[in-house]
Amino acid sequence: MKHMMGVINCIQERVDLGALTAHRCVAAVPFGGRYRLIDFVLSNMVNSGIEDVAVLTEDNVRPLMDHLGSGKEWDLDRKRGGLFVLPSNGHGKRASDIEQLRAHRDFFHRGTQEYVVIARSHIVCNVDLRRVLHAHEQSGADVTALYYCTTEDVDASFDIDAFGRIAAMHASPKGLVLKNAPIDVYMMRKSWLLDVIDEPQGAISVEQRILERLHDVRVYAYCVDAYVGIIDSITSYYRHSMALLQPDVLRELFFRGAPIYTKVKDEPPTKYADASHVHNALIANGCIINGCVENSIIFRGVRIHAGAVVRNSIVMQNGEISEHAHVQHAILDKEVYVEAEHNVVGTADAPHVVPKKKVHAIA
Amino acid sequence: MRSKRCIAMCLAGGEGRRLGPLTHHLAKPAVHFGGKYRIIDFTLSNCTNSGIDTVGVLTQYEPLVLNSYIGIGSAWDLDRKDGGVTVLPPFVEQQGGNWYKGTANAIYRNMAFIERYDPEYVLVISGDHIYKMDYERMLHFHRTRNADATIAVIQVDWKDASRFGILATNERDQVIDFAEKPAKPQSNLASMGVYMFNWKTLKAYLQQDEANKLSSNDFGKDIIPAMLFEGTRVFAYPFEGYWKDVGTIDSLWEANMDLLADEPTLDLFDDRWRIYSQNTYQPPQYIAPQARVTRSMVNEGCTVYGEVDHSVLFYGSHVAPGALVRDSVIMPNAVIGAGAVVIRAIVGEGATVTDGCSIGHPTGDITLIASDQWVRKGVLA
Repeated sequence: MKHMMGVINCIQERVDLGALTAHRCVAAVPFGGRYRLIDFVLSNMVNSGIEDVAVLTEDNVRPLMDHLGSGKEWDLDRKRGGLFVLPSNGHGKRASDIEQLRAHRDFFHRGTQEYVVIARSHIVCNVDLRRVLHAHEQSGADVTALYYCTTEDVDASFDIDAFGRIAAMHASPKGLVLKNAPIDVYMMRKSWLLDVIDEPQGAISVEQRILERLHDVRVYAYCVDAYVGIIDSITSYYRHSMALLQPDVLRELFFRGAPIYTKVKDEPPTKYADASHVHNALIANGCIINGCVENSIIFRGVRIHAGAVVRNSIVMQNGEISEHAHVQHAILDKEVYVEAEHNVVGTADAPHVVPKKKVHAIA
Repeated sequence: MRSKRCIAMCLAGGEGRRLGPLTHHLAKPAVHFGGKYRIIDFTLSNCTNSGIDTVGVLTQYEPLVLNSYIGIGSAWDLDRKDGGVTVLPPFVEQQGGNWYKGTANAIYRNMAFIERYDPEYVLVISGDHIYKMDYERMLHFHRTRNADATIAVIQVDWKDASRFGILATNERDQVIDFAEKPAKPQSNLASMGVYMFNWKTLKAYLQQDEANKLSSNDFGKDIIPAMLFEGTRVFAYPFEGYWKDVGTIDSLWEANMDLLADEPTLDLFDDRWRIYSQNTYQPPQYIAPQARVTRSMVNEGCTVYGEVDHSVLFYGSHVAPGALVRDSVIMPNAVIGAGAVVIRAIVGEGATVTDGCSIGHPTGDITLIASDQWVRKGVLA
């Protein structure tokens, strides 16, 4: 399977995760106990037989580079192809993805693949892109755009005709009950993409270029019939994290399809003490749990001391919750230390976000 | 090939016959331990953590799983351009070939491998022991004593002493006597099967031992006694800490249970001395609303709906609603059905205890369910 190459666009993200993206790009935001958001799209690509993946990057790239390394965890440390990071030109000017792709157009010439998949990193799902390729070839489209059906509030909805072609896109589809929400994944011929890259135009993105000319570009829709989590705000981050506590969502993301790969930390299994009370929780390795954990996501290497209570919360890597501390409706970034008998409390609608490495000592 | 100061030779051909069905298709070093590890992870991680980057792993019995597990050694950071891990199975020469006759014969027949690196010291270790040890410190001891051979020793209970190779030492830690499994042990200093040799000295003894047709070609039985007989400088390096040779089902179970103490002697959480292993890319463990997990170690990929107490769960194992698992070891991808009860048992990889089944007994022998077995009706040990 060497028909496709992948591009993960981490520039000009329209996603704001507050403190979680203060020092890292969206792609590097920790998710689901042991992953970072980019793991999902990257694993989908690798599991679909893609062996050439380019990652377009701009700011705050260190955490992402640290995570990706040589690409070994995704089997992308290859002699031919593999993982390529395509950095911005570094002149401080925000390039559009088209400009950045143009600067790196040699990358597309060295591969022999016929098709390119362009995706963003803030979508959590497990999808087989080989099926998308099949549909793309069958329909004879210039571009195939992936979407999912939802009743939730979304930013946009595709208008799809009887043949599966996208006729229009509605920017704020408030009136609709069932929406065809785009997931920012596009498949196209490499030659088509190269033509777009070489067109003289302003700073627009590949996506804008596709969607503004639906009349003369044949864009077909492909429905992703699986769990899709769009992480574009703290609220949606929290909601889709908590959704992992539903066994069917967990199964769909991690067990039904191919595995999701991530950087390995070699933590030992998690240890539960005599006094631990754990109910409805997703817990990564390397934790020591002496206290109470309910309806929560616990990342690797977290310590929860005796008498501490963590409810409806997300505690990221190496967090420490001291004796009799209380954490409720909160998102604790990496290495947050909550002192004994202190409280960190948010609400279900507005979870309290504690930035990385903060010592929390407000009673 | 640049010369190396010290390389390790890891004996990993053990059959582990007393582990019964667990080693039917598995060499003993590949037996699962501690929720995510295989036993050989400990020696390989010790090598990496001690700065030894060249390791020969001598395999023989049922090597398939072990070979694919070791791979090119990347899990232990032993995928090196110069050195790294090399799996060394018995091979055929022009004069023919046969199995390794004994531990010393296994090293003798791989002298060509050792000589490629022209090492000053050769560390001979066993792939079926569970312990954390800094071989660099042992080498330092070896050098300061100006020794030809150093044997790592640990104090064992007097009642167990006759199961080990027992050493007698003088006040300078020099070994004056060695007895393999003595009926009446003179000390409780047991050999851990960890040897540091000056390669020149060892090479001479291996050649001499190979020429002796009566020899069993074993380190404990032949090489060390010969060295002592001829007055070679053999020292005992005292080791303190956790060390276990899990030879039997009971001791394998016990070693797993040791990890569940509040402060276990074998600390797996020490990030300065990580135990590395191959990763299986599983999602975090899911503990259901009605589940209860206490005094246990649980690995990624487990789903727990029932009650788990004082047990070790390997990746991908599933405990269904209403099931009870106590004082047990649940190997990878095993399934404990709804309402099933598992007490003091080792449930093998991929085995299934069907709904409502009851296995194990609160006292007496450990119940063993072999890999991939379906247990349909109650089995009381």
